[in-house]
Amino acid sequence: MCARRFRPEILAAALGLAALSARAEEVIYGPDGAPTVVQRKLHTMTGRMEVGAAFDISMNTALVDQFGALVTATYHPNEWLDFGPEVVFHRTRLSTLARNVRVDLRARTSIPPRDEFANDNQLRFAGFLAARLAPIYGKFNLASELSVHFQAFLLAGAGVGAVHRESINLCQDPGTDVCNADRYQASDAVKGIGEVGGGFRFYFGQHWSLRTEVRAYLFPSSYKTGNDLTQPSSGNAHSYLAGIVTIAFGLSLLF
Amino acid sequence: MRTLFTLLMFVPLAAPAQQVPAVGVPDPDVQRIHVLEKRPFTEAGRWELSFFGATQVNPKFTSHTGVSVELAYHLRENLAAQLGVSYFPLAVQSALSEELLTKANEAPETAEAFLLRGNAVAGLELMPVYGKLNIFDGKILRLGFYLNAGLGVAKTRLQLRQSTDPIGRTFGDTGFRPMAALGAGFRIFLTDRFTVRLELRDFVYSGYVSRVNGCNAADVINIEASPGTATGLSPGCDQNAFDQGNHLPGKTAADRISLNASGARDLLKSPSADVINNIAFQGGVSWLF
Repeated sequence: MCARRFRPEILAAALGLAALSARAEEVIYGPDGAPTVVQRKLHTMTGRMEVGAAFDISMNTALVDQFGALVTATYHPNEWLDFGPEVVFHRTRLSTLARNVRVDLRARTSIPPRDEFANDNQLRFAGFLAARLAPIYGKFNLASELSVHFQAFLLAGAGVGAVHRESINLCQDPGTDVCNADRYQASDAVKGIGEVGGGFRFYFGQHWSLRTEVRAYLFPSSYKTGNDLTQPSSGNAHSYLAGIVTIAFGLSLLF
Repeated sequence: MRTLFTLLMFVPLAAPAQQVPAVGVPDPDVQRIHVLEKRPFTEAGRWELSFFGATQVNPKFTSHTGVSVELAYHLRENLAAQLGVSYFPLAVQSALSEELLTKANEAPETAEAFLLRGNAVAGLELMPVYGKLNIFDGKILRLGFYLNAGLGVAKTRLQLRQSTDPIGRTFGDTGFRPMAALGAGFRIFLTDRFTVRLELRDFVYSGYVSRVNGCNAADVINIEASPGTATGLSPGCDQNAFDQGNHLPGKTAADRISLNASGARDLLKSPSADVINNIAFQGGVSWLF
């Protein structure tokens, strides 16, 4: 009869293998089945302030050229959100196309009635309170060794701005002559403005990052329809939602 | 010997206790390491079928919105050959073009108002940059940045009447043009089979126009004067192709032909040539198989 004997080496081997397998279970597998390396973000944002400056230029205003500077100062309460004030300054003027249209305008007549051109808004200055939501953080490799970390964000804000309008085709003087270049109808107004946009941040290090973003400034505007070109006071205002889309490139300092 | 073996087997149990220092900032002892991770899947040797929605992002005088389909074969991990076709059901003059005409009797040069109806392009795609992203610190997705270039043909047309015209928008066929396409974008791998693609593509083509519906400037003057019955037209000129637009009471086919021929006359009277850059934003999904 063969008696059962306690074999400590077998118990040790079993425990050792169990320990090895327990460590193997610690590997985290990604959604694609590959082992995923869980890393903290190289560039954390929580509790940091950010100051940024960017050059921006409008993309959708064929009748107006506008470009300028965008300055932002925001606070990041967590990794995904930051908010704070923004100001934008634009140098604006009528585009070559708009000036060519003016040059080709004929002598004014009462009939037929003409509509004023729309989308001639010049956004010269604006201040906003804006928030950015940055749900996506990632990295890519340039030339194998150079790793670039980035963030993708959406933004929205509201504020007020100074909007200048200079009519392309309505003269401020009554008469039938061709209008002089400096005598077209013009106005200035302070308007409530909303902004929406999105963009990317590319980190250069813990403090500096390059930002590029597209944003749309939305505000109420109007143009006049049914104008008697010889009478500046004629015509009926037609309201619409104006949108100026800009693209901006700039630097941010995080501290 | 047995004792030594027993001790060795207990070593792995003790090992986990020795490691651990928590990784992360602001730990001053944190060490940066290079992790070499093999890509979990490869595109090499696989086909990819993509569907896009596309819209023009530089719509000064023209406006285009449409769809495209692309079939690609990934020759290598970062190189693919591709064949794509696009169709723009909405290919019209922009609101600004119509404003210029109705408010200032101005029109863009014919070349600038050239409309792209569709195209077929064959080319290559290079994806030199590969990366990863996560969303709200959760799901990790892979992405690649790519550039592509191709050559092909474009089907073009011109708008003859404005949307405010009683007979509505009408168009004249201006035939095929050689085309080049340059693009840049990124591909986000949702799984090893499905991706989301976002890209900007510049469709470049010649805007030179000398014929509309096969008819030259002399032909359209002739057609305008004798709509539907003009004779002595140049070979390939189809005067009945000008019979387009709303069928209004009291307007005959000859009236419509005359109106559209008049529009073509305005476009052909001062020849212009340009290289058109139609920049489209394309967003879509693809299936790798």
